[in-house]
Amino acid sequence: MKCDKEMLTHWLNNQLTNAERQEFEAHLAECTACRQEVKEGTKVLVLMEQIQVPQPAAGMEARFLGMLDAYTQSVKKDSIWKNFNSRLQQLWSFQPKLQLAYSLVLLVIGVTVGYLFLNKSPKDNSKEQITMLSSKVEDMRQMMMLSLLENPSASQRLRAVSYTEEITNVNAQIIDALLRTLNEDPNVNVRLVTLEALIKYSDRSRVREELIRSIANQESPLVQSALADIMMKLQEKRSVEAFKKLLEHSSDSNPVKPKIEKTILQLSI
Amino acid sequence: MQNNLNMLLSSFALLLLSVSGMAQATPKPRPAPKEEISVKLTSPDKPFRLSIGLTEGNIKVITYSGKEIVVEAELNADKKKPAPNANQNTNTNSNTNINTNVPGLRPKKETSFTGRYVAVTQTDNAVGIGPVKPFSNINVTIKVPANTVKLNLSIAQGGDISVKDVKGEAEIMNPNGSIVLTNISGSVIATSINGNITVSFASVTEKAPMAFSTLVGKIDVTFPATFKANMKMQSDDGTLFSDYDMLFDGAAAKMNKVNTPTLYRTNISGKLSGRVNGGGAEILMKNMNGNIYIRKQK
Repeated sequence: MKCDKEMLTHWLNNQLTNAERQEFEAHLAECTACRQEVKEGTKVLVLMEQIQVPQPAAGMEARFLGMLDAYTQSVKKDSIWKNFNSRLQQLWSFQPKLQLAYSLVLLVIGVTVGYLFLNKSPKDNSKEQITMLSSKVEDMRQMMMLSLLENPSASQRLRAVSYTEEITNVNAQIIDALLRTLNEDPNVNVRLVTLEALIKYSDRSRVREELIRSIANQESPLVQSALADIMMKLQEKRSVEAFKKLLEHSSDSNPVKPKIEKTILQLSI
Repeated sequence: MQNNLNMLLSSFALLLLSVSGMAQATPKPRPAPKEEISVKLTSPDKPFRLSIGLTEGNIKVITYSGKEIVVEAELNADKKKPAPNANQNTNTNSNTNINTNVPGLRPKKETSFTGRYVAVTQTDNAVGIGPVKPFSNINVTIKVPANTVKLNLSIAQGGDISVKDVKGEAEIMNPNGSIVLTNISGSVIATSINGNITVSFASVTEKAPMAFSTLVGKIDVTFPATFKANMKMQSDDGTLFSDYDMLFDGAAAKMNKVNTPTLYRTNISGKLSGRVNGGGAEILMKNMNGNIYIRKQK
């Protein structure tokens, strides 16, 4: 065991457990340094024991309590006045600080905004603002359209599709959403209206390709018929393969079968 | 004497037997049993949803003054083939209340009733009705309170759907049967393949887009006189009849007067679009074969 100062003090104060004491005493037998320290420690303890502790004078407690009493009395007397006073001070000192800070902030904002506005010619500025605003409105419309397309109500999804008419810059994200609706929407009418909206973008090659790809996916004879109309109008010969595939899968009772056969025939010429 | 008594007893027994035998031979024709299930809404005064999906049969939705959803169901007697085992006498009516409490969420209360023909569930004002046996042919009549409702009705293989006096949004799909909606307030999206669509509106939700489509069948819709809309009419060889002053886009279309003093007609031959009362809601009416009627409410 190494020399442990802490153990040593505990031993001197007699604060060790039996096991610890035995262990420490064994160490003490071997270690001269520790023995020396113990000797000095005991000496200090003995000396401390000899110091006389002065006893408190007889009337001290009574005198102290009296003093305390007198003090609390004086504090109480003061406190009402002081409280009022401090409140008043708060009113006059604290609040104006806040107000001042607030008005300063307003002033700074006012000055910077005014500076920014004045720095540009007013005509430019309003134009810029209008374009900024309209682009924001457009962004909002896009967001609304995209989120409404996920709505469980078919009426809301129809509304979403009709929003595309108001969006001037129809980007790939919107086209994707429309194509997904065309292929996956559970309501036939929503698919029909979506198809109607997509026709406007049929000059984009991607839309055209996706429309052709969609032919084979459509279960509803109404949508099949609408797609046949569109392909006829676009004179899209690449759609013939898709229609042929569709006919392979559809039953003889499909009422648009003759129409599709006619479309294939006319497009194959 | 003993003999006589024996004879009397035996003949009596015979009589009893024969009577019981007769009873077995000619069972009383049971009247087609009808069931009725009432469902309370979680919030009776709030808007609710009603979804019904049948394989075959008829759906009728009407309003009444009560607060509950009342579902009446019976086997469709018009059809010759009854659903197998449909007449069994065991009443399997069972009601269950399931409380699924998800910590941190408002507890959802689901009530479900399984009758002989239809099963009805209600969760937070959303009512779902479906057949107990998937392919049974049943007539369902639902009485609903006058609250705003989101209706979602469909029949897969035929039968008719009729709705009366309902206020709200209706989404109707009936590929092989007719759709008749009368005195509706709100908006409608209806689709069929081989059926006619007939709708009359008491009032229309402003700017609400609507669509009516069928492949082979006529579309006949009556709107309020002040109805504002952008109409798109599409038909391969149908004729459009209307008594609205329709402003057509493009010069091609022109309405011609029909015999009746107010109705006008024009060939659609593909696509037509026009504005009614200055334009407004986007309305699509599309079929392949069949006429399209757009009427003004008188």
